[in-house]
Amino acid sequence: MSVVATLHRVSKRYGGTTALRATDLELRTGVTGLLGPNGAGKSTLLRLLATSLQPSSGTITVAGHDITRTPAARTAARRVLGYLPQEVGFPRRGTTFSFLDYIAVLKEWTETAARHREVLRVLDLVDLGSHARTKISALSGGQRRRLAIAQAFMGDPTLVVLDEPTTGLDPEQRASLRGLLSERGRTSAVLLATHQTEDVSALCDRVIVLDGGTICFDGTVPELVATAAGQVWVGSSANDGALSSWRTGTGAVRSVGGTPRTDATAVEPAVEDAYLLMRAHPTPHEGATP
Amino acid sequence: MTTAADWHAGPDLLRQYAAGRLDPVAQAAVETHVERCSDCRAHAVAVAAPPELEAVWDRVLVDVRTPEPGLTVQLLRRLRVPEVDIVVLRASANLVVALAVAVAAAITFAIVAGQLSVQRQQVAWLAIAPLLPALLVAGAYDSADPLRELADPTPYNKLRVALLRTLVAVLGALPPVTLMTLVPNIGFSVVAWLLPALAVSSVLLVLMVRLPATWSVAAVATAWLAGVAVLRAGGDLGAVTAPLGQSVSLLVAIGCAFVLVRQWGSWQPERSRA
Repeated sequence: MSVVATLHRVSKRYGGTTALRATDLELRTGVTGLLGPNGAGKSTLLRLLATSLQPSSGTITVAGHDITRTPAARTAARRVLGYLPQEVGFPRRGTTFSFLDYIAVLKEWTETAARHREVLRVLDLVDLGSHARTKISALSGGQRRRLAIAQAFMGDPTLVVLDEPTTGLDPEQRASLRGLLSERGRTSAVLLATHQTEDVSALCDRVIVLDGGTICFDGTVPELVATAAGQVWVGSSANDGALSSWRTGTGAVRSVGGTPRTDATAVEPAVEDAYLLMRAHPTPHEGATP
Repeated sequence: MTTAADWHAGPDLLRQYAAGRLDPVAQAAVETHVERCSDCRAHAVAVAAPPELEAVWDRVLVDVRTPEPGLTVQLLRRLRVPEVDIVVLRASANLVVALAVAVAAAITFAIVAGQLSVQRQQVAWLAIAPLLPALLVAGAYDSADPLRELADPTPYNKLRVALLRTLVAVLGALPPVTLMTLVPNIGFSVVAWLLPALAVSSVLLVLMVRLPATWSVAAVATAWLAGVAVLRAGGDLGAVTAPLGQSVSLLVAIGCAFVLVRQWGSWQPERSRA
């Protein structure tokens, strides 16, 4: 797996608020999940990689171009980038085709026939091929999200940065998107920020947990799950001091953390359990500096 | 004598048809025949090299699935505007809204100005007309541009987009400003607003790299209106339309153009903090 993007001592401050603390990170080909609560700095990290923001300090390299150094390097990096922001504003007028046609021009697809072919290809990719003439205002929320995803796959991006791509998608569409992302991850570095821990466990080769602008965990999904071993229980009632507990469909109570009751049995943890425990007892990852 | 019924396309004609090298009329004629004649259809498949046939089929598929261009696009194509620029302009839908607002503002101005004294009419006209293009450009940016989050991290030259929008804004401002000149006593300086408008718009583009569009246009408008007020207080409002005033406007525009040329390829508008 080759290195596609590197962050070296990168921090970002908005006035007196630090959104991202001095962070070191390497992104390689494959799918990396970025977990963290709201305000953890996920979108800031993604926007820094997408060249939408300049860091307060540190250097960011994308496909060999130091995007913090010169506008020319930034432009070169943008040629290999696919980016999906958390919220995409769509034009009030226009069709799915005209929207993607414009984004394709901004991505320097200047030859008309090739551009139209590429627009139709990405529409097919997200299963909107039959909606080329449909007005954006007539699309459902899920269809709009898929349209936004389509523009991120335009061309052959080496780095794909997606901010909560599965929001608004139904289970079938999410499964389809997972297929797309895993395929893309074979040749590109895909970084996706999400609140959906099941997407991470189903899709990601690597997971990063971000909290308070600091990386708390960086490893594989099994490694993350292993941090919760022996801390998830099922019993007739909730553990004392459990971080979280709920009655399952079988009537038993599943508890994350806390002191187990005598009738409780330890069970296999999930990504969500490990994430909850990590949030409760954060330990900065070795790549992070306070 | 060969009739239409027993005519068949020869190998050369079929090869050119498959490669898409015939003129549109001949291409359509052969296509009509091939659709009806199974022999020629079989020959067409046989004579066309597979990659060529595939390319033709691919081109047909793309053409069929591509939506028909609207009237505006057809008009711009007739005016020989490059295809890429047409796509950029078509996406600047907010500019169209801003233009509509400008026309409405101009009509309102004409009605209100008709009630003013001659001197006040001229002051109002000189104050407002040069600001219109700048207001239109700013209106196509910042919070008014829904695609800014997607457009920012793309490699396309943003200054080219801005200049296209500015050009459309200046051209679009011509009809409403001309309308303003219908107000009695304003006609004396029908063209005098153009150079100040160019200067104001150029300063706006330079400022937009440092400040969000809304702040930039507020700064430019404040400075322009203050300048007009000072000249009026000194009883020297005619300086704007005099050769010296026009020369100053031209110099400002040239200076800004110099700055913008240096930023070619790196120009990017600053955004309001989310």
